[in-house]
Amino acid sequence: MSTVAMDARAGQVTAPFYVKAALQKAAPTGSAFCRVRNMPGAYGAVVTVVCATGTVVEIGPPADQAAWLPIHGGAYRFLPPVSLAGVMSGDSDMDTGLGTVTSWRVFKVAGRDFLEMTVRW
Amino acid sequence: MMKRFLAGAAVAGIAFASTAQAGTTNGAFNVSASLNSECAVAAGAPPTLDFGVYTAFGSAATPNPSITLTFNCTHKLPAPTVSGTPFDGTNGTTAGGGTVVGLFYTMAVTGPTSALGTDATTSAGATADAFTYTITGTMGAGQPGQCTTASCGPTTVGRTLTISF
Amino acid sequence: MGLSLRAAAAAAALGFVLPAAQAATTSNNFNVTVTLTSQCAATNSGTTTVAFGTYVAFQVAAATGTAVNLTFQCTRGFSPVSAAFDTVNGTAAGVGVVQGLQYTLTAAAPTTTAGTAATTATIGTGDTKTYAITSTMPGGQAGSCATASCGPTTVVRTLIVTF
Repeated sequence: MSTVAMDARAGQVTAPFYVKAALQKAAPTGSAFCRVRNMPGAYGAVVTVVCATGTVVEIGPPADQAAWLPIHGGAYRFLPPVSLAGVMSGDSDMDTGLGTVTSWRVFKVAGRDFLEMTVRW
Repeated sequence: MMKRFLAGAAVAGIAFASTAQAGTTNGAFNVSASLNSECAVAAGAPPTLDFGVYTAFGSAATPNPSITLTFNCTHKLPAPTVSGTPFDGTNGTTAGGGTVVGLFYTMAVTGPTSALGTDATTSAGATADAFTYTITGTMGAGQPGQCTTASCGPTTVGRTLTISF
Repeated sequence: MGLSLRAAAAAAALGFVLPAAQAATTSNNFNVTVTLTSQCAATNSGTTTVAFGTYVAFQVAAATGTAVNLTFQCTRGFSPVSAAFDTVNGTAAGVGVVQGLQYTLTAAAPTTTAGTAATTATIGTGDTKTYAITSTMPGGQAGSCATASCGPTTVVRTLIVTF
């Protein structure tokens, strides 16, 4: 006579643990807008959002005069000089700083570089 | 006339000597038992999956924390298993979702890693096999959370992990 | 230890009877000697079981095995000097393992039930020495079992009585 050991599970056991978090609200601006200093993808920028929905309405420079992270996509402002004909007159005396550009990119097409900027109000 | 002879015999004495011969004698008996195998939560306070401070619309200080849970099982019992829905459904979903201060998080469990016990000897029982599971949490960025004041918490929510053996 | 006994017997006279028929007796004495080697022998070896029943791994409470009596018949008035458990399936002090679970046996000092002395009509009976065996299995043990349950598993132990 032979016997077969069946792997019938004997039972279950449960172990407890805890999940913990603290919530700190984004700094209010005195209106319906809130500022967020560590928004992922903002590369250090201080982002203003609608408090109720989180919709980004503005991107500002890093807090405490911190330098921008050298990553493509920062909220830079470029003021290239143009001639009266509306043609960019070169890269000298270009005024650069912080602005309200929400996105930009450089892309190459047929060996030429194009700067695409998206601006929000 | 016949002569009659009557004769009788009598025991003059009985001598008896006793000695004790050193030796042993054995009494055999059986010892029997049955065993129902079990797994039990290892001793110690329940651990905490701590996401730290979350800035609304930002991210958690620790967006992917992890903890370990260890179970001690009868020696030689096959490793326990976890189902696809091993968490409690009381303070979240059995798949591992949940919220704390209005912030949504998910959990994933991996393992177990094992530390096998020792076999029994003629004078020492077997020791338990230990199986350890790791739970990793994920709290996504950009959440508003829920808080009526400038800050809330830290808030702790109780969860459980269930294994089968 | 030795007990010697002397008995005196009356003797009858053996005489020559004259045809005139006078009845008489005569005696001839002789001795009966024996040397007794005292012994003890187990009377219920292999017939009893210390049963712990079903142990649930990691149970809090200790388990207690059924108490058993091991009996030995000894020469009347004779007592063993010591008793210990085997060291084949455990320790002489009574520790052992069954199904990966440790247990401890205890043998109490023997009690004696006196036998009956021999008479000229009947043989005597030995003294009965009884050892009560008790046992305990501590709680919190994992045991060893590759399935949901194992057993009952039986291990043979022996009480070795020295005399």
